[in-house]
Amino acid sequence: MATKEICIATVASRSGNTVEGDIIVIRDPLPYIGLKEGTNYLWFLVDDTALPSRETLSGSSTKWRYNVPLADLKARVAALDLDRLRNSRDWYQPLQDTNPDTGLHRVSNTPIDISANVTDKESV
Amino acid sequence: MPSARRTGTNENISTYGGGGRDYTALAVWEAATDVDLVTAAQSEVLECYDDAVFDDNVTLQSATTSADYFRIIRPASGQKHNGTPNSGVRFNSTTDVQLIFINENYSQVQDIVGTLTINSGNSRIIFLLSGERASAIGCIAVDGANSGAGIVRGFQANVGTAVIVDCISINNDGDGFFFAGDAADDSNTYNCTSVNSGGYGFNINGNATHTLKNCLASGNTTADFNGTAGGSSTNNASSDATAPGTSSRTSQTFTFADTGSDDYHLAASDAGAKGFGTDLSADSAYAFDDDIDQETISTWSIGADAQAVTAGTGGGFMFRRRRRM
Repeated sequence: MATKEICIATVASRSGNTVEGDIIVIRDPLPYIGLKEGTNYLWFLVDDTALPSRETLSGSSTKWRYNVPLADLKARVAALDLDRLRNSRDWYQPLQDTNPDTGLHRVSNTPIDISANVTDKESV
Repeated sequence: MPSARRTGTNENISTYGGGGRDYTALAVWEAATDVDLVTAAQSEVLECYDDAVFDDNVTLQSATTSADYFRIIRPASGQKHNGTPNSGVRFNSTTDVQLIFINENYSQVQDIVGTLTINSGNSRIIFLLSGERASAIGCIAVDGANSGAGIVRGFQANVGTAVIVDCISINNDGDGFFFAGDAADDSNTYNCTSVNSGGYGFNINGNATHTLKNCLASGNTTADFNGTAGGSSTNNASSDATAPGTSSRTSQTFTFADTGSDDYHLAASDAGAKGFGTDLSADSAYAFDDDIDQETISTWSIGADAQAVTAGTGGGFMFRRRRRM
């Protein structure tokens, strides 16, 4: 098992092309995120065993191919506050306790296996 | 006179790089800015910092753009490369997709150094352009390598009227520049340099009109140029016999500043390309007046570098003040 860092949209984008739950980034973990990446998105570590390939994140008929319903995430992490995730004005990165002033993660969450929660829009 | 690096109207600038920047993932910025920029009367710009060599990639698509309002990826002030791939904002992507794919009209990638290192049965492109006036300006595609069955090309113009200016392709395992598309998918490639590709330097395919002016190709494995260039192509040069268009210079010997360091600035002693370019400052398709170093061109040469330098020991080059539009 390898660990990856994933970014999921928690708010639909201005254009509407990105919807809540869309997987936007899968990457090797970094110790930080950007100062504009802490709202509208949730970053956390995942077990990559059954993750989609990062080469396939773009959809053919939608901007993003894969989606993780936030309710499913909350079922795995009960402490997640969905209202805060959905608030564009709220810097809320609880899984890695990311500092909003620097973007630095203060902790690393135990990688979460979300493979059972990923919807492939092109298989629906 | 316009710089090759166009600026958008009413630019909203975000930063990209390591810790402390606005964005650390190109895709997040892209997703946040793929809006109707024309209605918003705003251009979106991502200014990148040389904080690391980034393993990242992006496709720009879905934004509504125009000649005034579009998206740009470019270095922040003081972060630009020095005309070689050894400095500036650099990406080395290991993901089996294009590195930077401009798939919308008018948007530009400027002065970025890119590499793709993959193991894939697919062929990929470091800078892929598809859209009306989708542009790569001052970019360097270097050492693209595919250890699988596919290859890596430096630049490719697909559907739409792409623009490639002041760019260099060095040592990619496929073609340096590849042109495709059907009729009306015309492109303009000006003052570019393609060296040591595993395929062609400039490879023209399809039924579109691909115009090459002031392009230099040398040491490319299959041949320097291939295919039929557009009728107004002119002042191209090659180390072999293939340079197309009017006023072409074939079987040339070029003298560069320091090839061992991937420095393809023209040496002062160069007799193959220096001073043999045509003036494109009033070009009807894409007028511009600066080279890969963003120096105003006084003597037009062939290739990405217009101002020859005196090669010093170890292959030096002069540091020039960068002009900012």
